[in-house]
Amino acid sequence: MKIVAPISKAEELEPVLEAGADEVFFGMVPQEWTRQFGISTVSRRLFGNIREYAEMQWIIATAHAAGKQSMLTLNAQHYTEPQMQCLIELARRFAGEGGDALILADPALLMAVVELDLGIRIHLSSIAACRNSESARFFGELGVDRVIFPRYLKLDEIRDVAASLPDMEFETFILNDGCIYEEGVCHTIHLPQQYGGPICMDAYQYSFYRADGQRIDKAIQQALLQNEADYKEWTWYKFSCGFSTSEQGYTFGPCGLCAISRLARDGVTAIKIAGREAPLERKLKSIQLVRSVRDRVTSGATAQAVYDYASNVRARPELCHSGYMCYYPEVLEEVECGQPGLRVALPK
Amino acid sequence: MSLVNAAVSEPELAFTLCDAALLERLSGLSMPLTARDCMAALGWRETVLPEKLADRALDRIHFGNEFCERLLPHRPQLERVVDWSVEQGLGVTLLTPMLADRGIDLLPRLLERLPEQSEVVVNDWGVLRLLREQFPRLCPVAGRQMGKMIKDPRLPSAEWASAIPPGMQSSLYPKLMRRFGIESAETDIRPFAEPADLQPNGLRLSVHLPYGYTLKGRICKPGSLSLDKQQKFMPGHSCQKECLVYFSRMQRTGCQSPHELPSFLRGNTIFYRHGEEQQRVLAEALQQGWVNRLVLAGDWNENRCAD
Repeated sequence: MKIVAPISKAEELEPVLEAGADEVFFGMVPQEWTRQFGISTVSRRLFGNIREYAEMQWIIATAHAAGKQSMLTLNAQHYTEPQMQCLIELARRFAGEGGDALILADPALLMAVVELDLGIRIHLSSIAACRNSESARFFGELGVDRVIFPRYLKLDEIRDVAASLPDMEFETFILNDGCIYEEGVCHTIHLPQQYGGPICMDAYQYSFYRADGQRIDKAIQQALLQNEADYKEWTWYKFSCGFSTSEQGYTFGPCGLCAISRLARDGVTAIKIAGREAPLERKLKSIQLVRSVRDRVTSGATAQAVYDYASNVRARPELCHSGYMCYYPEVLEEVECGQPGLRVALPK
Repeated sequence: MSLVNAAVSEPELAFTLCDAALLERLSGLSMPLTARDCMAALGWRETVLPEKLADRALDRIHFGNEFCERLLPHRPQLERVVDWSVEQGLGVTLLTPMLADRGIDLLPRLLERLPEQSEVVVNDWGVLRLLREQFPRLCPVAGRQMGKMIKDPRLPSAEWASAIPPGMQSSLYPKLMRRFGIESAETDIRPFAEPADLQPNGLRLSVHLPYGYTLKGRICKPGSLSLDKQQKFMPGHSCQKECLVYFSRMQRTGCQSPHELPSFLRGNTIFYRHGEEQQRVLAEALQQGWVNRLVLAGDWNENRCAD
């Protein structure tokens, strides 16, 4: 099972590979893009993109020299026609330099790139929101080699999709960067703080109504307010537990470490560490953390042992036990039921 | 140009219904069914249509939900709505959301019950594939979630909107849709919209009003209301369909844009209500004859509160 990690500049590549990433992904905003379109984002990230073709060439070559792979993300939800033409040229150059895979989300761009037959792998971004077998089949027929699942799929759902398409690769989120909604159908802009920031973190007050115009009785009103408070608590976990880390520098927040055994058994090829815009130190610690769990799984540890390690490694097991930090909270239920005794045999 | 007084061409009129139980309210109305009567029957205080269209007979019922897999109708509900619609001479469109495999497995039982040439609004490429493979007698329509654009009701100025223009006007969008047998697409009118957004692009265009959707999640806040704390906000969690009963209005307590559009949360989705700008753009598009169909939010609204 491969560890996929982000880089935001060329100098991050070597430390990230040394820490244990098997594949790296990065964004690129070429100068001509900024000149032509007046915006500094190609792939939903304003920051953390490289800008020079020379950097791109160096990343591809250096990754290959280390026996690793590099992937270019062009994964906004949609593009205009002139933007697509610019991106197609970028894709062509990336492929020409020997880049390994393009991460795409917009089916129109995907279709255009596949028609070019660039001899490069296509990974479907989580932004494309592929969450069922029929959808994976659809994208497979369109030319996709790997589906990156969106957040909030259940482990059983992942298993079923992967089982129904044994020739396709699948990648899942494993650490960092929660999203409260669904990235593929969130049509907002992460505004600067003075305008409210991302909508999921903006200061909203909710007032409750019944759709039939009747009054809400007091007990329900109270329950709605409590639900609101619970939701706020959940979002605190999703926003990296107040953007905190453990004493060792390991990240808190969205995490699927204890599910790696299940994911490996169920046909997931790669696990993704999110956070392209994060500082290098955070990326390295995240890779070390994921690797420490992945290696236990690979060496044959039981799912229970993996769970025990993963939930204690940051010395705050109560955060894990809340379930609110989890990408795959059903593992907690299985642990409580004493079920995760399976031993996973994996190729090393 | 106000929407209500707009001189318009004659688009089709569709009325959406999510809660099959509310069909009773429409059943009691005199024929032919008009948008004004249907909206009044569901508690709307105003008819959000040009006057010229408000009293015209409806053409079609859009039944189901675009946003939540748990609101996929049960077959008896669908049968009631289909039978009633056919009786009234109305076309039927089934709305479908993004689905997990479990939802995909449930779909054939619904699709087989739709009359020949019925429309199915798809918001999931897997649903589209299923339709094409197993139900070629039905007509797929690209749902709002397929036509991507920025719809942030908080945008401070038009510059923010113009930085990321909608993708539907790219020639590749209709090319993609037609490759998969889609001839019609639904859309919202975005904040800082321009009439050109609705110009013909080779697909028949249906426009939703008076709301656009901003975003949705799989996790549902109101749907977690009745769950134990540790069960709340989990992927695929159960619910009591609280969205059919409650909604929340949203008010920003920090900064406000001078162009802020009123927003509300219903189920797992945030919607914004059209302002004058969206109405003006729609009026112009109607005048130009660019809109094939208007899709009225029937019971999925925030307009029926008692205050």
